[in-house]
Amino acid sequence: MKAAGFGYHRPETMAELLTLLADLPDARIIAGGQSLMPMMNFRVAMPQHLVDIEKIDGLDSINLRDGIVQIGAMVRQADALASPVIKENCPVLADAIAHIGHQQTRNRGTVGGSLCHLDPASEIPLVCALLDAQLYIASRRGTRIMNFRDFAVAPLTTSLAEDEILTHIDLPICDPDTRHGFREYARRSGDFAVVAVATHLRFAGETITEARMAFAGLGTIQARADRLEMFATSQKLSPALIDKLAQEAAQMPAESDLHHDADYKRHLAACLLREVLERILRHG
Amino acid sequence: MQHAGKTGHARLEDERLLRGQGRFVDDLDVPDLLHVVFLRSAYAHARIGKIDKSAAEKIVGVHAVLTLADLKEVLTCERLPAATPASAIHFHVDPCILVKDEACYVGEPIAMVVADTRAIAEDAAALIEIDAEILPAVTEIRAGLSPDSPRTRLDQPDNCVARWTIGYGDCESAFAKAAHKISASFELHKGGAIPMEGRGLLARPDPLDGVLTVWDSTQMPHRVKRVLVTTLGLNENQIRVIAPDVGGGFGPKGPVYAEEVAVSAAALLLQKPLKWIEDRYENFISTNQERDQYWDVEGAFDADGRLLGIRGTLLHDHGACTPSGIQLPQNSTTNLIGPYILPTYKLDVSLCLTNKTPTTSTRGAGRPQGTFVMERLLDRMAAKLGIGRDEIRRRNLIPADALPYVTQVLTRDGLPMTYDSGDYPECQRRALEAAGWHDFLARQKAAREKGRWIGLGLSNYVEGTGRGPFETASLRIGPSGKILVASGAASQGQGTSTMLAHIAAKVLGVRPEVIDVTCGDTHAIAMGLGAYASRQTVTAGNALHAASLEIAQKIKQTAAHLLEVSADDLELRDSFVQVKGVASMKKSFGEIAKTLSGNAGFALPGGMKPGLFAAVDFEPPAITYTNGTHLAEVEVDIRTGHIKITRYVIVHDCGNMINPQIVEGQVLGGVVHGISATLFEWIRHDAQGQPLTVSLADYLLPTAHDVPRIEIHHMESPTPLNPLGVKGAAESGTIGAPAAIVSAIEDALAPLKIEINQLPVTPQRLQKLIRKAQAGGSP
Repeated sequence: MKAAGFGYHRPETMAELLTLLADLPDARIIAGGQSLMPMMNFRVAMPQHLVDIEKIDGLDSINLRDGIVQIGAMVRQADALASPVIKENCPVLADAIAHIGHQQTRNRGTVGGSLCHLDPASEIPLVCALLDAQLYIASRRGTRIMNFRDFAVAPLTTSLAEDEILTHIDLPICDPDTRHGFREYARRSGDFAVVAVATHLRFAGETITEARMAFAGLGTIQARADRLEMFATSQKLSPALIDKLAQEAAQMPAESDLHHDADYKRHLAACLLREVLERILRHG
Repeated sequence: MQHAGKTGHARLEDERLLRGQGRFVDDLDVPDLLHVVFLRSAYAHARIGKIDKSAAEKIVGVHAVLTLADLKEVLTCERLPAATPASAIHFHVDPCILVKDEACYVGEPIAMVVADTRAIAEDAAALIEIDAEILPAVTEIRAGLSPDSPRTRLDQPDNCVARWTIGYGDCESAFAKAAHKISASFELHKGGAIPMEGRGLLARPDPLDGVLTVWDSTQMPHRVKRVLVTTLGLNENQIRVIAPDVGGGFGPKGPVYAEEVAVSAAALLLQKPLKWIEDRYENFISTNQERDQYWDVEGAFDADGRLLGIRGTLLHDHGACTPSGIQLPQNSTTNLIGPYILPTYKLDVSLCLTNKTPTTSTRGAGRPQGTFVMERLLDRMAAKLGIGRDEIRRRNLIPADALPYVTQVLTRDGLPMTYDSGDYPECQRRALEAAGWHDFLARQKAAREKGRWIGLGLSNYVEGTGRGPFETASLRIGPSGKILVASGAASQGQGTSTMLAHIAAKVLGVRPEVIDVTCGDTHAIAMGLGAYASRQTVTAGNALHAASLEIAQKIKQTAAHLLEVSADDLELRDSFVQVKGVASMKKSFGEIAKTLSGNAGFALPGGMKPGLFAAVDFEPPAITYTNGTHLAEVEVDIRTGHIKITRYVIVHDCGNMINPQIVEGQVLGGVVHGISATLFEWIRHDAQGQPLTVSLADYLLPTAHDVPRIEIHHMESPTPLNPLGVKGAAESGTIGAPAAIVSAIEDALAPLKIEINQLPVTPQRLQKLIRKAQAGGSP
């Protein structure tokens, strides 16, 4: 199939961009196009206007400041993966991005595009859920900042208004007291995860002082597993705790899809969480 | 046999294709070309009433919106006369060229839009309004065969389009005296062909010469021409069908489809060149596929594990029409026997029409399923008897000295299925040795101690290749000296031209590069069949071989007169005929051809017949049987159910090899198709018959990560059935793969005693079996 007709705009300044977003009816922002273009070619998406943000300055930088890694929405996944700043300060994101698609798709695909598309199995939203990323959103009306939790409304649905654009995200840096883990299972290398898990544990000695665990692929949007985190907090990481957490993970809500049923997804969630935690236990 | 390939010739096609200079249908452009989009049924089953084209016709850039009623002006019939005959079929179901009043599967073409661009045509197609009354759909074959099922098509008496029993011998007595019996039920799914290039054609009527030229991505251009002659009421000299470069066929581009007639008819009606290119979505819903077979079988064995008989039932999903008769399930039933001695056999077969895309052969053509059933029964009986899986096969394989071996079933040419040549026990022996079968137990034990689940599986199979009734080839040399070959064979990337060039080159003493081969053009040769049943080297190869011998002889005889020597003293070398050892006494092929093209009024020398032209129709006396043994090694992750194939070894025997590089490419590609069918490909529908796997995101194919190194060893048992001693190799790789891979998975999980009865083996399916076994195993 061929895409339905659309108007194409490529603004060169942020002001021009925000004006276009405010004025054009039924406009969609295109970043790397890795999800939007197939959807348009299938005529699942038929926007009247495409606004290409490739020429806008300042959306593709990665900066470190005040305990925060700031990543522009137009940062290509390949560049994020190669970034020493991300690797050193937010290694869980680097681990996650390594599982997105293939080199060719990562060369085009962007951090912001992945967040705004919000596929429930995708990796960058998972890390943003895990770390409570702060998202910066601009429009002609001004700038607002929101937690990923408030941004992600439902699979493929964000709380962005029609005239708004995600400009960058803030992620907290991982300090020496934290241990992270990431694991996913996909049918083939580069496929969307069937299930993915990401963890971020802060330790005081052997005791977990802050537990963050989040899942993708279960059918709902990427979110932290409050109940599991509650069980882990203030506990020592031990085989018994891992058993307990895996059992709990196997009870999480999940939705069946064409390829995988809820039972299998829960089973995978438990297995992957166990693997991640056992690795942290082994390697300290 | 002297080989090309590793020691000789790379494929002549490759440089052009690798440089992007291939010319596929969509690469072809002609002035004033218009584009066609089909509006297809969105319903699995519906009565179609009024079709309102008015809104679509108003779109700027739309030239026509056509239904069957519009095409009738240039058609001689409403239905596609393309069915393969089969006596077992109660009623043939040929689809209408466009839906008349009943749509029987999602994807069936109802109307066509002709526009300046494909995008405009798609815009317009979305505006066509159809009055559709949704009818109950048949989507599952067991339900479809029950007496109270709704009907797939309102004009048919029931859904059981064919029912027959294949078998021989006294199966009941065999089971009565059996020492051991096992039964099993299998749900075997096989997907589509998924060629890189979908179907497509460009039809151009030429007002100057009155010829309709059709460039078509087909395996069988002469068959397409025959159907167009019939449906359009034209003479044979008014239609030319050309298969240009074709990006993969694998079976489904053999049958002729309604779109090929509809686009050609519309081109005549509008007197405009029209192009239709199938996209991936259309390929999933409108190109023939294989899908589901349900087998319920029992095997009877004596005390030593020798087969006494197999009996059971096979239910087959036939889809909404019968384009290829019964050939796909028939292959399944005959190929079950494989390279084994099966004394008695009785299988009741029922074909169910369903409201889904029609099913016809894809690579392997039903044989992988039959092979799978036999190989599973052997593995299970071996486990029951506590003997090796290799040993039970040794006890049942047909010994080499029993060949030619006449089985007791008939093939569709009416002849007894006869294995002509080969050494099946030796083939298995070599494969076991190459794969380290006897050391594997120790490796497996060591791996299990480390918590790794590895397994090794094997399968043996035969493949009927080189089906007739004939294939054509001609060889012509004119005064230019250029060697021109034409054949009814058609290539979809197999290297057919290289194969033909090599055969002619060897006889004529020239390099293959100097031979010009034309395949797949109905103007180049009057008759032909094309690509199906792994046949072209056997049929076209031998036809050309005979034609080349004839020409070589004629060159020598003519030169003998011109040089005044005996023909026996002449040899052919580099496009010259020369006196052996006297290079100065020679004539070029061009000079010989010039002599034989005559001078006005003068006699030809020595009473020779005119011209250097020979055309041969090779009629294979019977099917020739390729065989092989596959060994697959896998590792299973029992937590996720993930299966990784870590090694793959094949011993393959397709008789003499013209070009081992091409044979290896064929076998390797076949194995990848087999891996794909075993682990990935799965056509899904919902209960209403809506297809759910219509993109390569939902319909999985293996990538390079999923394919291990594939090690191919050759045996060469020449067939006595043709002068070249060759057999086919194109589907062989697919046939053995599902059985070998599943054998390996079951072996890896042997401590859990898991039986796999469904294809594909997805991680979810396997993991559930593992968990069930683990739960059952605990106290």
